[in-house]
Amino acid sequence: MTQLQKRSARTVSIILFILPALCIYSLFFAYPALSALRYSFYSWNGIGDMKWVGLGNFIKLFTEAPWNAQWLNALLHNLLVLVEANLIQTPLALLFALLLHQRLFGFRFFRTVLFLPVVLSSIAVSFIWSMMLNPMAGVINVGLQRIGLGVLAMPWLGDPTYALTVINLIGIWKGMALPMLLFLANLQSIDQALIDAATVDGASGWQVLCYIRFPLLAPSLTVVTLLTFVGCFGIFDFIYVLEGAMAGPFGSTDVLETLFYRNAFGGVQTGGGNMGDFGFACTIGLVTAIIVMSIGFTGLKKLRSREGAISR
Amino acid sequence: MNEQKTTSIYRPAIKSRRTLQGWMSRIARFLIPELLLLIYAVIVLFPLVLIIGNAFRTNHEIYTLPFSLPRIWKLDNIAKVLNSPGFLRYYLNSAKVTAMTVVLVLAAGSLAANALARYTFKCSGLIYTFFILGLILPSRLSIIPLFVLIRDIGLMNTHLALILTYTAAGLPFAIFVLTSYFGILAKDLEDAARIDGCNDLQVFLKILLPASTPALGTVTIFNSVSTWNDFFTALILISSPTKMTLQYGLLHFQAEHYSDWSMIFAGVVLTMLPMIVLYLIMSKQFIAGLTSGALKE
Repeated sequence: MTQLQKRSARTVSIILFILPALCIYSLFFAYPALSALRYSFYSWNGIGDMKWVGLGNFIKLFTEAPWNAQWLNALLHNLLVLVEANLIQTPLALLFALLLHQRLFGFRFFRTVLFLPVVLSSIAVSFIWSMMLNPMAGVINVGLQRIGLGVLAMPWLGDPTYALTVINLIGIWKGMALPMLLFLANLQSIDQALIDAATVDGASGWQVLCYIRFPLLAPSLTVVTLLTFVGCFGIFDFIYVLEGAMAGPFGSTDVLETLFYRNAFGGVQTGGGNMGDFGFACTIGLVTAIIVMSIGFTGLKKLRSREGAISR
Repeated sequence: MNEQKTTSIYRPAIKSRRTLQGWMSRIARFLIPELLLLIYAVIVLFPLVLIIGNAFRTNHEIYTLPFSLPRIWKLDNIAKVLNSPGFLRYYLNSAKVTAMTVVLVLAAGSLAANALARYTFKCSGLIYTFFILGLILPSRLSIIPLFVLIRDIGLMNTHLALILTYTAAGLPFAIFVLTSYFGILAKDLEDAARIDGCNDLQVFLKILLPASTPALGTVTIFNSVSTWNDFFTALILISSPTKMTLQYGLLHFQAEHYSDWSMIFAGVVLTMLPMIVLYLIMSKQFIAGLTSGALKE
């Protein structure tokens, strides 16, 4: 074989290696994602001609009632979910990662059990909790009555004030395993010699935690913060299953994803039936994506530079 | 002098160990973490045990004795669910879609990662970045144009549409993991195989793949869990009950048996079972796979 033949044979193999993945990925992910950008400048219900509206969809979303109020309502709900997740999920995940890291009695059992919800689907988890929280026969209300706290019993998922928080707690029940896993993996990667050295120098357990472990957890804290942020803006399944596409009661659990879904697919079960405005829905999706990605990237940069400052 | 310093630090500790207070604090230090872990384990397990128990009880028992486990484990509900038109079909649909997706992601992903990690060529960096972009872009963004595309090429309401969509969504992570893994594998075995007359494909199949089982396992686990548990894509692309995958089917099933709790519990248990069993058998691999999966961002 000549050198030239060898080289062209190599080129052919490279192309053949890459082509299947590139085709599927481009056609079924990259192309649609790019098209969403284009769609957001049109008004289109999915059938017939697309009507160019320029920035009309964006103007409609931000300035015209009732769209702007609905959007703000949904955005604020996403932010509430985010604040709650950061106040409840992240500290608890860190605490339990620290406890697991001590390899106490029953470590293997606890590790297996606490990480179990990771493999459950959001649909199954939604059904489990909707039964438990059933106002009439659910074990939560029945249990509260049994122990004499019947006054606390309430329609957990039907109360406009608490429904979103209850759904968020369900999400945390399922989702806490992941941040815990990341913290634990990070804890296990910390050099034990550092901790031994500090202990020999007379540092208490608390001091070791505050001045050695916690700073060295910066990498996992970055990832967890980012994942929580992205996750809280992507919340959909629980709300769709537990409260329906209308995100009841009275829109009190409406988030950006349910707003997007209703505008795209008309709030009814889909499959080619009643369509909404694809262009406007893409605008909602695009604005969400821009928010998530811009804040996500700036936040990531900030957190990474914090990591750098700590390790120095 | 050094020695003296060390002992002076350890003396108070030894002293406090002998006092009652020292003992108390040692016990507390052991008991409180154990107690906290136990409470959390109960919070995780209680709903699951309750649901599994209820899958074997009648509606009457569930309503009247909400907290007790079944006295007799009746298989009626499970049998009824499995015999109900549809449920077994959802199961088979999900198994088929998940298996095909994982195979496609592994095949296409490892081939592409092979080219990106083991060969140097023009625009390899660009192609890699293009794939990695898929990890950052929110996947919901593409759902409307995807819906239009699938409709226009006539794949609406088919499993092929789901498989291709899941594969496209799973490839970035697979390529990310496999490229970094292939990148650190030593080149000498490959060179030896080439001298023995192996071509590019043979080197890939006989040398690279067998050496990469941990990375392939990570990709398999991460993809199986996310494909098996996905509901949103099926909601958009599937309409007829005979084509539904398990998660979407469960929603459909729940709507049909709205007040029949024992049936729904049995359906939920059957939906969760495969993943729970797999998890219990290989929890170590699952934990490793999902950790690296979460690190993708």
